[in-house]
Amino acid sequence: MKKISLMAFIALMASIPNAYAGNSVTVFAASSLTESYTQIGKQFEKSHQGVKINFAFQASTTLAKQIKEGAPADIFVSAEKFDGGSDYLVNRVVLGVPLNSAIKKISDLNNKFIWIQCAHEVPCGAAADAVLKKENVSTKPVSYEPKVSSAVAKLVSGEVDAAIIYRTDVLANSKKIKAIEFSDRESAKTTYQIAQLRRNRWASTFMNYLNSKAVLKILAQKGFEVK
Amino acid sequence: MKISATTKLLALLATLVIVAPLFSLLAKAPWSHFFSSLTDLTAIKLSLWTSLLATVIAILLGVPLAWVLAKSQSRALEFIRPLVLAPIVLPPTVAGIALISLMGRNGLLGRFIYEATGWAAPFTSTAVVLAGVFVGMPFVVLICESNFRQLPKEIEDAALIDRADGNELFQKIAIPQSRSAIATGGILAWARAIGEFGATLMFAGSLPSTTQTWTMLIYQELDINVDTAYALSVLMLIIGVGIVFSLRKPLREAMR
Repeated sequence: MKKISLMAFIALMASIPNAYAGNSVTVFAASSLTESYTQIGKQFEKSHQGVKINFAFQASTTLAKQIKEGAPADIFVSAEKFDGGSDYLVNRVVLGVPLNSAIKKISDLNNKFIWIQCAHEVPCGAAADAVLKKENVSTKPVSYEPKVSSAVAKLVSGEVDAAIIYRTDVLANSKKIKAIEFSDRESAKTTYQIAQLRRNRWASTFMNYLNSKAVLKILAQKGFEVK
Repeated sequence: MKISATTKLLALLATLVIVAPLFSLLAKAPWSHFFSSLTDLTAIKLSLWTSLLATVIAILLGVPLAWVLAKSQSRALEFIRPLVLAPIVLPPTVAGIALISLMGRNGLLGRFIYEATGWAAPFTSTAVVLAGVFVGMPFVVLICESNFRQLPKEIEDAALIDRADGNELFQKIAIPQSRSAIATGGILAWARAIGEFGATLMFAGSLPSTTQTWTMLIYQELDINVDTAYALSVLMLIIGVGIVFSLRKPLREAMR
């Protein structure tokens, strides 16, 4: 009995999948990359049998914090610049609205519409704050979402009339929503940076893959500006 | 009875798994400037009043439900009981989606409310309260039902001999006899409501003073000021331990 319970415990602990397993790569990526990176990861796994790409998609700020606390990320892609990162992609925030929306221009937000943006601390929120400075909008968002994907989900499900999200989010949901551009395109921009944090064979291979022409082409189709 | 060394070792391990993180939280808390880390109490206040209101609603509705579950002979109860207790085991995100699909402005019920009044629950403090009721009420039901089943048969018989009707039995006998169970269920519901995060975020969003609750602020402060996040967490830990400590007797009785 003694032995069985101990062995069961050890077996249980050992069966928990961990990021150190040989043929896997752990990628911490900005929430706005969820859709495109999931697709890119699957393609990579298909052409590299037995290699597993594990993604963690969160607000870049949150991921950066987790990495600082020792999270086992092999590759980090942030929607803002960070120490040691190199420029990767450019995205910009837009006002996302449903296709048949009564909102035609940014200043329409002053009418009684329900809209949301990201929290000030995360990249999409910082960009939203920056573009709103140049617009004449006196209403306030009803929620500051902790990451862009939760703002997108609320817009796509119709719970809000508008959300300040990325251009790429709008393209990914173009059957339901469209974009209204902000006048200050420069402030709307955010530069994504990438870095390989740990050296191992598959992380390096996947890092090269992420920078390959084929992947950058996919990302460009998704609406990112590639370097 | 002798407890074997292995069992004791496993028990020690079990204790450490829970106590070690809690102690580490205390150890890393910013004690030198604890109260200055807690500059903004808006979120704490919001969490306190919404969770208390949710608890009151959970008791007002949950206690009668528990009584019906305990006393009715209807076979439908076999299906209703697991459904109303489901939120205890449901992941918060599922609870969030369920609440939106009912009360969102495109929701089954929310749609009509929105069309008639222009009001929708999401992004309001009402949504925070509703989420609290949803996740908390099952605890009231669970504990009160078990308590109602254990009421001494003699008391009920005596009341019936005195020609008390079912309602009087419930209101004048069962409820006063079950004060401790109701309080226990209520406090567990309150603890669950005040700790709620995922469902609230999905259903209510996060806006300071309206829907940004204590737990939401902890999550946000991790990105801004870690000290504040720690201080807010310690405060919640103190409340949590306080709850369990004050409930140690009634909880033991209710679990019997």
